[in-house]
Amino acid sequence: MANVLGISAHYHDAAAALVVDGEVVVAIQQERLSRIKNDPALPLDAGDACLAHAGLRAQDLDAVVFYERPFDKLERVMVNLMRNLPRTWRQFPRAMASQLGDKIWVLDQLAEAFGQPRAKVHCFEHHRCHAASAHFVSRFEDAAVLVVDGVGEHSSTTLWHGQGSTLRALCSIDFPHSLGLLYAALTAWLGFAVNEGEYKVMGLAAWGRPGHAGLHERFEQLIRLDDDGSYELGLEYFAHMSDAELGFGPKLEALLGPRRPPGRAWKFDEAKDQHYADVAATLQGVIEAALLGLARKAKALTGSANLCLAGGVALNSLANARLAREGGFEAVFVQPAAGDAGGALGAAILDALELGDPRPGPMMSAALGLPVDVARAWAVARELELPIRRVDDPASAAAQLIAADKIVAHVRGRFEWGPRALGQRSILARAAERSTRERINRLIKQREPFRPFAPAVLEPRVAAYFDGQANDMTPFMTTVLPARPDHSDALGAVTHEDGSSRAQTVSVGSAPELHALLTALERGGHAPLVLNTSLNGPGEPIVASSEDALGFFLRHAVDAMIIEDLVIERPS
Amino acid sequence: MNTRSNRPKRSLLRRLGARLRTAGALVLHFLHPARFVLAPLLIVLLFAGVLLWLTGGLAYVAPFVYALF
Amino acid sequence: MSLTAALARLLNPLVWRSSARSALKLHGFALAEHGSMLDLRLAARLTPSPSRAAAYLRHADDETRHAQMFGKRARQLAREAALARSHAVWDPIRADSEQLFVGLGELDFLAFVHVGEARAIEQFLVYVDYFEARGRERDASLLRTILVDEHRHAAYTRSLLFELAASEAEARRALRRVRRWEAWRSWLRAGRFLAERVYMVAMLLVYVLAAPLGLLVRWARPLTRGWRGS
Repeated sequence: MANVLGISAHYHDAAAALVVDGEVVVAIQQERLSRIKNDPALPLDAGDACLAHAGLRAQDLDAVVFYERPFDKLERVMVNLMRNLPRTWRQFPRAMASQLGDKIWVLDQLAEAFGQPRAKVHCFEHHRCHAASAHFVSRFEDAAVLVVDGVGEHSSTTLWHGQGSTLRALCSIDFPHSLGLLYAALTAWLGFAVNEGEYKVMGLAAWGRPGHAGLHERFEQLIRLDDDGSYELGLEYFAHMSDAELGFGPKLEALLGPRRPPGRAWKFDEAKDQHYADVAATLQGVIEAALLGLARKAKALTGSANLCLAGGVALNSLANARLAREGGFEAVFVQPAAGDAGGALGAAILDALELGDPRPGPMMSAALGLPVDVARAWAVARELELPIRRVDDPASAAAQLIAADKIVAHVRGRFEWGPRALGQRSILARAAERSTRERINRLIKQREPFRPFAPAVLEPRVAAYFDGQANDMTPFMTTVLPARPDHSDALGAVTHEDGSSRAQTVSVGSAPELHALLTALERGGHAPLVLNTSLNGPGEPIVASSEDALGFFLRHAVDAMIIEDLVIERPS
Repeated sequence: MNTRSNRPKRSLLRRLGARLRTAGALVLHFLHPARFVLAPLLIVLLFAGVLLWLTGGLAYVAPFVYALF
Repeated sequence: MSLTAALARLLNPLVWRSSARSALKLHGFALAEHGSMLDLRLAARLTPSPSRAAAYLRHADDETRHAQMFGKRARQLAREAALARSHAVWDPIRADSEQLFVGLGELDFLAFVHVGEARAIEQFLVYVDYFEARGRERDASLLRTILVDEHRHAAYTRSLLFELAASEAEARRALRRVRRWEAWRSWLRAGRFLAERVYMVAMLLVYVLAAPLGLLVRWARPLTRGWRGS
């Protein structure tokens, strides 16, 4: 029986996760505490918060585990720098300073920070941690596991076979060929920030025409998909071997046209922007085809009926839906924190298993963060002279506000693990009117007009509004379902251009507070369905603490905020 | 929640010892038979490491750096 | 006239000489405001006093607004100057937090914020004069709007500092301590700036000398494609 702290850090999206006696007790992304979006810094605050939440001290830990092998990473970085001489001259000094000044000492830093003997600080391979984060918290005894991201130490794509408490490596595709880096390069070309704008590319895809004007042929030069499921990038179009900023080279601009200037307003009636949308749509199709090829390979190698996914590319909910439909598996599960944060969880589970603990139970909920301090929220809100009151039934209070067409910030329970707000730190509103979506965009989110909002629906009612059933992905918003056209009046604010919805199915187990709210809505004669978007302003991490929530209320024009049993209503 | 400032500091000697052990492990990594051919990269690492250490120290003598170079 | 104001007056023609330089400077201000917002949010979470937490949250809200205002104006100027799209001024405004509350403690944190706000007032007043004299009403008006908040911030942080300190002398000691710490930090930053450049040049030399290893690596580790281990 062991207490194991897993850590991911140094690239993007640092996190800490604590496994106690084989169970995942708490998992926190550093950005939620530091308030720096995708904070890559060594997550000491998150580690401390994990320990404090579990009532443990650092000396109670049996191991601290890092999600990557630093020397292997250094080796790949050096080999790449030397191999691409002289184009890497700009990167060389910075990369060496970052590796030698910081990254190779990470295990020592962790030992010092958490007061551990160095022998108790371990590391596992990056992709193994990703694979573990998906398979070991799925409900599957036997599963093929597919990890697809930018790059780990050497690999960018790996296949695994998970059986019970074991995970066997099958095969891999190595850097510089990488679906994650292909996606990142096109994200930058479309004028979005890499590691942040990938969702925007996915949203944009619905507005485009895949393959329009010879784009399929042009994409064949960017990536070649082989019959054995592997793929190969046309490396001359990319710059990720020598440029850390952009990821694509002049040849890509010659092939697809000049990159889109960042920050310019989108106008789809202009041919230029329609072309960018067409490229996004073609990219989405290529990614889906590549993932289907990988899934087929995984199926052939394992014969398993189930598929688990992790790595940043696994956050592509459209592709996940297609994998579930056409991948040949009975069930698909995606780790909710599929990006680098999830590696912390995988690392902790791998070490706990090595120490003899059992495999964790299936992940039912992503509410693995910290709760809010209600007394503190009350005291600070009073000091801010906000009209705060206590209610006996916060779910009914929230339901009444939403039914009255109010936009409600919902802060209840422990905050979420992963990039999705799943009801614990969410902005909720009526899902029916398209105007609600525009109001939220104008007042709070300031998103591009093509980006969709997602619905949350009571699990037993999902088939009434969507073509499909609840599955292993729907509680975590990692897939999409087609909206039923006969219910379009109930889904006006949450149906995307292509008719899909990134629906979250809500049960007592996955999000009890949101479940109570949706039940109260249904009891009041309304559809048990809300628009659910993350509780954050543009460029900010999702709210974590009561102070973050009150800060959000000061800055953004939501109509009301619910913090556990406290209600703050903005005077109309 | 934030305890960064309250962390117990290890003695300089212990920290130095740990760093030396890590440096030793790094050398062994590159001398492993599977990547023996990459061993010359250790020279680059050595130069880069020494430079980083020296220029890190330069921050303290700061604007008088011109007197040293 | 204080040294801060004199320096600002001296450097004005250099700092604001073109739209491009002005864009860079205002982008820098936006980053500073964003960093300050992060520190204040952290302070709001960590202070034991709900009333001070409320004050820090209000202040953080102002800093967010200021960062947006500076960032917006910086991008307008960058457009006028046709700054390259790869320039940092087009990136989202993101700063790092120094976690000053944790590093300094609440008393010195308040002293630090007060000193920073007071210095900003001095500088902004000089900039406003400069802009008004050159008919740059838009920039003058931006700074005048922000100055109203800066005066309020300087006043409340001073009053909280003297409230929190055991005595007036203790508060003044905190102000002196923070000024010394800031001077040392500036010294180190200047040193780091220079050291980084020395390092860059020396590393480029190492890079050139290591060129033959490029051939070795290409021979020893050729690029792979397709499945490995299949």
